[in-house]
Amino acid sequence: MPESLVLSASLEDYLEAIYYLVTENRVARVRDISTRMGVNMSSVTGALRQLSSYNLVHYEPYEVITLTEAGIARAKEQVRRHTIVKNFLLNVLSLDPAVAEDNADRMEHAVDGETLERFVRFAEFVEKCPRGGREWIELFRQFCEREASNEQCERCLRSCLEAIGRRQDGLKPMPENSTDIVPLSGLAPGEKGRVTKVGGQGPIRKKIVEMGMVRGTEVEVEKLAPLGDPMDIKVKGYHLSLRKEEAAGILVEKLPRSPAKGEK
Amino acid sequence: METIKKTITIALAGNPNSGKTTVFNSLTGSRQHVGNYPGVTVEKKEGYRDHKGYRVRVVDLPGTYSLTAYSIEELIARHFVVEEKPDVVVDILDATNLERNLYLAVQFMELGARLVLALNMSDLAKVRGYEVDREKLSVLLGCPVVPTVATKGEGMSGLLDAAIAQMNETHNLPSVTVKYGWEIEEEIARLSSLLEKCDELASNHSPRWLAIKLLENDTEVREQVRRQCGNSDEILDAVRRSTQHLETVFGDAPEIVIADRRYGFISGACRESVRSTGQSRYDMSERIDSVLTNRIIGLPLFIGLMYLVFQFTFTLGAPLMELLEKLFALMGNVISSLWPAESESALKSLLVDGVIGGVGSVLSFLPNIMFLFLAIAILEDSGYMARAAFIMDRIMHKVGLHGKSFIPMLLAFGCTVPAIMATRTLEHRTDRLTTILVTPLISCGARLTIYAMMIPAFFPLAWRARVLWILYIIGILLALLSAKLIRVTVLRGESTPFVMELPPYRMPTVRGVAIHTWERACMYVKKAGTIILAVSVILWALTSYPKSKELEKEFDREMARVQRLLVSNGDTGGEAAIQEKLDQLQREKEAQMLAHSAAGRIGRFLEPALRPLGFDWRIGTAFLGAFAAKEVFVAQMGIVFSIGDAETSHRSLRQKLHENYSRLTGFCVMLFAMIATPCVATVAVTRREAGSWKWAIFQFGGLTVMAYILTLLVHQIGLLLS
Repeated sequence: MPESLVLSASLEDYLEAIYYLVTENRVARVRDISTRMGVNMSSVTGALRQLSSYNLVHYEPYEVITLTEAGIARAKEQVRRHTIVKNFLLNVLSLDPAVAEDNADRMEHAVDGETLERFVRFAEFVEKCPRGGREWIELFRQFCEREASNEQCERCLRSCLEAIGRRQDGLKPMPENSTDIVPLSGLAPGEKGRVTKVGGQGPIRKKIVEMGMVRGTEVEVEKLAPLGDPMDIKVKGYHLSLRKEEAAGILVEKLPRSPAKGEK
Repeated sequence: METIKKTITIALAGNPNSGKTTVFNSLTGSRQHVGNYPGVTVEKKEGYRDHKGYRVRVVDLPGTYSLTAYSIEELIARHFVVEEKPDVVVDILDATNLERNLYLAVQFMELGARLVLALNMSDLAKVRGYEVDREKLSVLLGCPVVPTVATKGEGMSGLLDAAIAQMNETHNLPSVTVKYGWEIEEEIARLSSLLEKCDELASNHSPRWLAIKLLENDTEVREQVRRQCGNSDEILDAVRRSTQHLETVFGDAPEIVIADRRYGFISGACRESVRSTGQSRYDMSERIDSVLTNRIIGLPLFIGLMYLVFQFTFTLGAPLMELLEKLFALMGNVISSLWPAESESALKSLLVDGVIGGVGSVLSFLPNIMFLFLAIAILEDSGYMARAAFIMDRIMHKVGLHGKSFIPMLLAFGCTVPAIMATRTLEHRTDRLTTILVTPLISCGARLTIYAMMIPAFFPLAWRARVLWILYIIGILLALLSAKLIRVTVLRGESTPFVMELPPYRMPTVRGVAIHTWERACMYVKKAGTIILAVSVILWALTSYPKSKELEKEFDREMARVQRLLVSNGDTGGEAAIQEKLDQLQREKEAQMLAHSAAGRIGRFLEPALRPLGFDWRIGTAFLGAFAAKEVFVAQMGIVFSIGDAETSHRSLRQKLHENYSRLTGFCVMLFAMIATPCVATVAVTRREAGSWKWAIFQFGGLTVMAYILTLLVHQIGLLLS
């Protein structure tokens, strides 16, 4: 099928209708088409002539109508789009099936090709990589630029839990059962936590965040200095030292201890 | 062979401990130059290298974690990129700690710099079990990523190739931007469009960057807008509204959310491009740390190491110092011998006593400084310095100082000059200034010579050690108290945070340590040395002029008479006695000449002010001389009491002191010597390290006033009690 071939909305509808008829009855007739689409038979023959000139259908007057290979491909693609848009409206936006069907029909034609294409990609992306978070949108951009591999999406999924946790923290100021939320200074050496809030203000707070103490980051208290203060905290794979008074402003959700240190 | 080489400027950026300095040394070798960024004490290193027909100028930016306006280093780094427009910014990333290192890289991207990323220590990353897909990372971040192992000099040529290619790249930059989510993006777009109207600012900065910085509440960009934009009111008002709006949306300050999002972008990129190749092997660095910062043995080990550093600096330095002193004495003799023996030429005196004495005192510190910086370079490059601060912070924080202040203060027991230079390891200016200002209160080695002379003169044997301890402890307490005082007055403000990386332990390289030590030595000689020399010559003049012709003639006549007596008198017993008499005359002459000199006059002039402290003009004059170096006090006292070489005749000087002064005065002299007037070298080095005369003068004045008041109190209370 030539990429450049642009069909009018009604021709696309005809092609779709023929595709459905052919898959149901192996062949299509002018009368069937006109019944299915609610148009008169002369309009159908006009459309068939056009489609035939694009080499999408085999059409001779009074003969049964079949699709050419290009026609099948084209129609399949259309159906795929339609289904994706419909499913998106149905599953993601939770619209009524009838409303979804109706809107999907109109959306297919109302928006231009590139936007529809991007929309289809998005719906596809939602299906392939179900997760959330801001980075997810960023990933979508990358998904559009290159073909996304399944491996990539698997990795997305793995970090899904983490992202969901972060998102919930963002929505709710603090979980109801906040018994597990403690200041970082309250963790003993070897204990782990996930940052939920960095308190304080001004340069110090900013500095602490910039050193990697962002919401959702996992931290582990490595040890205390010999005199009991400051603390040595492992964050993003490196060691950061903070005074207890600074660590007191960082709230963490206590996590189960990591397996014993010496373990191989 | 090209005749004209194209020059390309590369700015080297990176986190502290990312190996940036090693890359810099690797790139430029010995062709480097150390200076300062204009107006500040932050070092600026530059070097050159020729590469494939290009002359590459490499500028080492300060090591930073971010590009906020909160620290001077970060401001310098971003000013350099914005204003001097280097052709390429090369950001050195520690491959073993990619996420945090990329935080800075992302900000350079935002700044619109042509960026090349050097994935340094890529060998270590492999050992740690990370595999970085450089291709992918490069696509995700929109700039080339080059692997390097700077300690082995690997990848340098590739880095330069990439930098040159990036410079010649014509496509528009930057191709990748961090997206902050639509709520923030909306505000960024709003502010950007306002900023675009401000030509003066927008011509130099990307409006998007300015908008982000304004949302981050960047004080400097705000100030720039206020100064340079016609529509500044409109912009700042929009910023206020945007900030408020975002605060209600996120329940947090936009600057925090923005930092969050940057890390979000980075962890997305890292998840895409970094693969963990299974369980990382055990971490050597953590093993070492479990011993060196151990709860129980960490502190003793630290004290032991500090003892070693102290010994290394001052014990190994001592013989070299003596050697240098001998060398200068020899030089003095050689130059003296150019004149006839009896000549009293002013030029000879200037050269021998003024210049050579001055140069001698400059260079006599050099061995200490070299050894000290050798030790410090090893401590820093190995990563132990951060641990030292970690261990000592609990104590130092109590007086408003930083854990890193401990090492300079410890070194001050040896000599104040290298101690002040050691404050370079402190990152925050307030910490650094405070430490510099109080360091002279710690009794240095030169002051020990004063105590050693004075204490036996006034105190019985059983008391001596105790008095010495008391003096040292007073010094330490005063230093800590002054630090606290300075932190609540002159350098008021929040205590600087202890948000400090504990970098992995690494083997220092011989080359890195050597370059570091050499730089420090040069800097000392060039910058502080000149001031010390100048003041030494002035002090020489003060103690030598004006001369009195009559006095000289009178003594010459008397000495000639005694000389004749010696010649006429044949027997040997008398000869010794007459020689003794001659020496006595010479000493008396020197004493009277000093009394007559400007220094002597100043001493007399100050006497009324010094009386309440129990001091007379002789002590005043000696203190004036002691400004050249503390130990000169002893020599000057020797001269005013006509004892001659005080070093060899401590006993007779002590006798004189005992006869002339009370025990209370003796103690007051030591107290005053301990607190007051740091020596000229201290003042010079303070000026150098603090960056302005203001602080040097403040230190000098403050210490003198403190000494005066405390000594006055002690003396007056002492008088009342006795």
